Amino acid sequence: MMHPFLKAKVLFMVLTLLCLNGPLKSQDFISDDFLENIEKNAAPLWNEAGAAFTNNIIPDKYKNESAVVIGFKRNVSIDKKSRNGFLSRGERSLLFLENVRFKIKLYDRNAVQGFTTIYFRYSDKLDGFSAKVYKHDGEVLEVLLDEAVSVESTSDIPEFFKSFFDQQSGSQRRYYKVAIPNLEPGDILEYVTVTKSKLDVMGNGYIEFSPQYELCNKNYPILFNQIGIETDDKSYFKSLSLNGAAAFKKEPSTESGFFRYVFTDTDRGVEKDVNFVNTYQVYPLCKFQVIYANSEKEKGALIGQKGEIKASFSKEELARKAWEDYEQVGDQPYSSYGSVQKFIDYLWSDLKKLGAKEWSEQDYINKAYYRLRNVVLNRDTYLSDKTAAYIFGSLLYQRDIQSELVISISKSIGTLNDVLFDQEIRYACKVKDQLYFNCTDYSNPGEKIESLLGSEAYIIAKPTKGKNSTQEIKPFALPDATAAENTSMNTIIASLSADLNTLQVSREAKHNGINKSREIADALKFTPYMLDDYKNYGGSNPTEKMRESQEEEYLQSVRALKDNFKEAKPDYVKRQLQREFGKEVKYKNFVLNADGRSLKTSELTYTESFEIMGMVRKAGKKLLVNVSGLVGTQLQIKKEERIRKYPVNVGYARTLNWKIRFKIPSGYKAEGLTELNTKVDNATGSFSCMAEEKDGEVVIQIIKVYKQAQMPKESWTEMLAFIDAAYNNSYKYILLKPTN
Amino acid sequence: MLKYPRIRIGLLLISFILLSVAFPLKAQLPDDILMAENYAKKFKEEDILCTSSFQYYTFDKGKNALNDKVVTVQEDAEYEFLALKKFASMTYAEYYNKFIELNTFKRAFKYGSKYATSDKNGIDRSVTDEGIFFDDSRVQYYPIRFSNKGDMSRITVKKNFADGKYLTRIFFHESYPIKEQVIEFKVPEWLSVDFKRMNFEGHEIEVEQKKKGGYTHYIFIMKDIPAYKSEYKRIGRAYTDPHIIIQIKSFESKGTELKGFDKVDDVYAWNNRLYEMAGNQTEPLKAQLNKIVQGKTNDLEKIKAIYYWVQDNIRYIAYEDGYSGYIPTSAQDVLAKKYGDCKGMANLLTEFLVMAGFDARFSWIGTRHIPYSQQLPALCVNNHAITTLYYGGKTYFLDGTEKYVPLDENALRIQGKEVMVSHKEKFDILTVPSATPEQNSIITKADFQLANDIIKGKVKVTLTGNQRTGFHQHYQDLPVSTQKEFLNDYLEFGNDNMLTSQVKTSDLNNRELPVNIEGDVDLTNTVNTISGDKYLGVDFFPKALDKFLPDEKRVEGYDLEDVIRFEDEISLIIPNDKKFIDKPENLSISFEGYEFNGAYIQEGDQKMVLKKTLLIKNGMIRKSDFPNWTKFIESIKEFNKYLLSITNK
Repeated sequence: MMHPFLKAKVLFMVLTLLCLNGPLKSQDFISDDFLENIEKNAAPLWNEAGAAFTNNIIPDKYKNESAVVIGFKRNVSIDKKSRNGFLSRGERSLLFLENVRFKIKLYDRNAVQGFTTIYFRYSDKLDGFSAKVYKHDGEVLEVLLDEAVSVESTSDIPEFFKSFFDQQSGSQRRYYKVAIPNLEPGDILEYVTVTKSKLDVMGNGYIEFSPQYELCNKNYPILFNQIGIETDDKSYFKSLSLNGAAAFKKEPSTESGFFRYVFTDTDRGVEKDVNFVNTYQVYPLCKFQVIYANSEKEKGALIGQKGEIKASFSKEELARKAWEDYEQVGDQPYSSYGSVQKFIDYLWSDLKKLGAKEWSEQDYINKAYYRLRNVVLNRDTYLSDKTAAYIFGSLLYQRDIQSELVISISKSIGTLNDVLFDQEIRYACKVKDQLYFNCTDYSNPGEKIESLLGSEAYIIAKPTKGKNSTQEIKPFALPDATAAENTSMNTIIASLSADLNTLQVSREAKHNGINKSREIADALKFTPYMLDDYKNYGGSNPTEKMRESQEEEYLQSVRALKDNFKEAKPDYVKRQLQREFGKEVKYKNFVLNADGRSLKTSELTYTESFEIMGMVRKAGKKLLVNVSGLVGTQLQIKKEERIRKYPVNVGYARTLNWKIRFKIPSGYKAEGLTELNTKVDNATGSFSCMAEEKDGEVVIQIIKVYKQAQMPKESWTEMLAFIDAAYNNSYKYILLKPTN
Repeated sequence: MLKYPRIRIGLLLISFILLSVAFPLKAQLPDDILMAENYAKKFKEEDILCTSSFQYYTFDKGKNALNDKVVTVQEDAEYEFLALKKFASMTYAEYYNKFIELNTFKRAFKYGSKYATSDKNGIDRSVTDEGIFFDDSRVQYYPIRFSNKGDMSRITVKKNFADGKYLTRIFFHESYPIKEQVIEFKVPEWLSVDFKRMNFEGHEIEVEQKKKGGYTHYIFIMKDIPAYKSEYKRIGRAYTDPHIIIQIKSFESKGTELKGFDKVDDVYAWNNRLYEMAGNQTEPLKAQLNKIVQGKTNDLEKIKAIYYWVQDNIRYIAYEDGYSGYIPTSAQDVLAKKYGDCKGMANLLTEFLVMAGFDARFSWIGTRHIPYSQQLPALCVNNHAITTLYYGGKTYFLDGTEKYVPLDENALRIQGKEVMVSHKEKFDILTVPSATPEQNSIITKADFQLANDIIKGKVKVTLTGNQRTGFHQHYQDLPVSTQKEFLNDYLEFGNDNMLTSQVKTSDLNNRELPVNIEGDVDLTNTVNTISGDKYLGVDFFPKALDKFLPDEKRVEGYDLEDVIRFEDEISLIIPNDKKFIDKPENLSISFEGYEFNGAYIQEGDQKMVLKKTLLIKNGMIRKSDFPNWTKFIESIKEFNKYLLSITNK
């Protein structure tokens, strides 16, 4: 179970994965030999001055909370040198000295249960931990560690309790857990930890620690939240605070040659989880990152000066850094090919064998894209934007097709002014007027990506050489997608079962644009679409190069795979449908009409047949059928969300269509159709339902449109109008009256 | 960013093809392929069949960790698995702990006609349950992956039970189907042992007994065993699946007969010995006890104060390591730490009550999913500890782990179960009384009025017995900041269209009172106006019952884990210018164990009252009862399907 306080956490990712410890040991009680050391190492932390930790007064406004964090202080010192006698091989390693102090008032049983077990590390002889419980009568109880138990796997430890270094370094460190004795509602729990870790940087002139997104609001109110980062003169620091968050400030360091940056945020309440919020753009947020570079030469461009808190980058800095990074991709290792460049050579050679030199320019572009998509399809992980752009751009270059490099930023992060980390820069290729984004397993050349719709971008060129190097940078806006592009059309044929109890449904779904991107993974799950993916780039059937016995083996494997899929698909579709309708569903059939993965049939189309329960009610001899409920569960905005605090972000504009044909059973006539008709249309969106009887069928046309992706909070009332209309309509019934 | 599991299947295919090029495949014998094809027809839904499962148990003498002379048991087992499909896979696991040593655990794959044993050891992990802080339960397991139909693998196991008491029972069913399961015991003459046959009726199990070289061999053979399937709310397998309980009655050592578990007295002696090893001290408990009973003027008040204090202040944290899993933590330790497991809580509670002058006894009990009587002398009978209190001519069963349960009410999990009650050298066997559905009720009273197309009204829900306790257990553990929202949701019956306000409750700090929750509700999207008439439902069918409708694949019955009475009275008043056109038919349906009565009663022109009761009397629905049970559920669903019709006068 995740720790309740975990949601907003600080992580330090070490890009170099290290295995610093030996294999796991079995679960056991802590050794008595360690206890004295653990407490001794932690003891100095209790003596550190900290007004925030001496004041236990909780503001009245938080008295009805489950718990309140009185203080949370994290200090990380990153040191290349061998301070404190910690290292014998001083210059070889980067030292991480981490101190944490945490104090929380637990008001209720839920909070007590949440902190009934806490975890600490003792993996190095300098690691320390100590905890105290302050009873409401003033008594202070030291938490004894003699019954602490080692934790077998670090995956069993909530991230919140791991040291920053361990959180993503992947190293298996020895942690223990201790049950906090005598802990009751009303108590205050406080603990301190100290951990010391080292990272071998021999041969690494440049290490980026993973970007941190510190959201100021946590799961409990927090009165004092401080992060201190202390670096030596080999490390650089950058930070950007947004949406009213506190900012890192530079403070004098206790040691010369060191820089200290401190973030102090105070008195934050709890933000409720609500619909349509772009987290990083509305909640107070502090982004920061530490970068180690052992020389000026090694450090990249997206770093400030020594001792500087770099908070933003100019257009020129961004473009130069992006280009530098892009150019380095070719030398990066790639699987067994040695480097990305060698892999590109292999792909080009492969394409040439398929006749790439003879293809038209556009044909080549498309097939190169599909060849790359085939690579992605057979990988466990997706390629980064940068790598995909580099490979694709290089393949185009082989055919002398000029492409431009586009850099941008995800809408969830903000605008290019908000870029602080290399990882926030997104890359795409542009050929003439057409943009080519990173491949997914399903994407077609030129298809848009939801996170980049309408994002601010630059088209950047290679910087000129020489002392006064310049770089051409053209501001650009990535295309948005309208509600007319992102469409779903559901054609539903429904009738009552012979016993008039259930609805028999056949639904053909067609998805385009971002709607397709959202639906395609589910639709194609447990279908063998990957088997003939080679056709998209003009590749050859894998059996062509096989010996007879291998071909037979391959075909057997394909049959087994298809059998597995055939067995798994019905259950999967059933679960999906039950989730969609919130009702019991009996699966009958699923047919994939077009997988939407080629330019010829870029529309995703499939037909599902199923039986759905609970849609028919009775009133005497009359039947009431919830035909409009075939749109599936519609979004309901509850009372507590109807007053809007933040701007609205629905992700992307879209149109959802349902055309329902319901066969009126013989011996009945339908009523209540005009009552279904409704129309709401405003600037934010629309909902309409039109019902008519035609040729013995009730025909209902329902359209729901989200016209805009982002709106000011003032538009919320308008949005509610069409969202409510859709929700209410989904509960309406038609009446079937016996004709006799 | 990781992709979807789908790609792994694709990769599996590609990897397989590459492997098939690079390495010769395991050559299967044509017989194995034929066998796989034949069995695949029989075990249609299975990927793997255990063609042979042989467990061979031998007995020896030794000493346990307490230095007692005991019987030790060695298990030698061999399992052969056959792939019925291409790309079949499974995980084979062996569990062990401080009483069970796993000496040999090997995996072999068949190449041609021979098996080649892998050098790789099984993957070793702790298997501590989520609710346990620390225990010694561990597992070793092998992933077994087959490339082709007809591939075979063999598992070899050698385990040693350091104390035969802890080899309690052996089931025939496993998580995989078994062609033939042979369980053989080689019993020496110095050992008196009984093999209790549990749930053998209705199953074809051959039992042989052979004398050979001074040993008696007991052989149990069961064939064509389907895989044990985990199912939602399945009745505990000890109620349904055949198994053997091993009862080591006595053994001879150096001419002396030493006791095992011949009679229930022997089990008690063992339990009580471990209980007395707790090492309780009364002095450290006095101050807290005085605080608890301070101001309590009569015995019952004192008893309740002590019981409720333990419930409220001792958190459930369990350390189960070797014998410490059986010896209660001392009362003073539990008090000091304010945490413990069931034994620790029962120990502290018993000690407090005794110190306060009451006749309280530490007691052992098996919870609901264990079907055995205390007369069965085996350690698998009990899995829980409580306190038995004799007071005022009445017997009370106090469970410190059962938070918010009032004195003289018992959790369903111990109701109807036999308790072994300690009293130094003696013991009592008592039975925890069972509650009736009427004692565990959810009573819903709602008065609605129709105004235009909105239904408005008041709803009041009353919870008694275990329903009230269950409510408290959930509610009191919620963050206080969400409790109000929870109460609103509770009155909304899971109906998205119901909006509650002005919610009031009874005193939720008093666990003895029935819980009352009441409030005003607005119900939208419930009235359908069609051609001037209105159609609406006021029957809030308990949706949870839907989950208990068995499909054709369901193997075993349900344990509903509830004995309950639902009683609903919902009235609807319509405007004076309206009238009811018709009303749904009444429904009265009753089977042994459950019944339902529902009726719409019109009172005057403007008021309709729905009265319905649903009784679940013992909470266990056997598979043989499925036809009745299905009819019962379907009938209630049908009753719920009806809407009231209202028209203009």
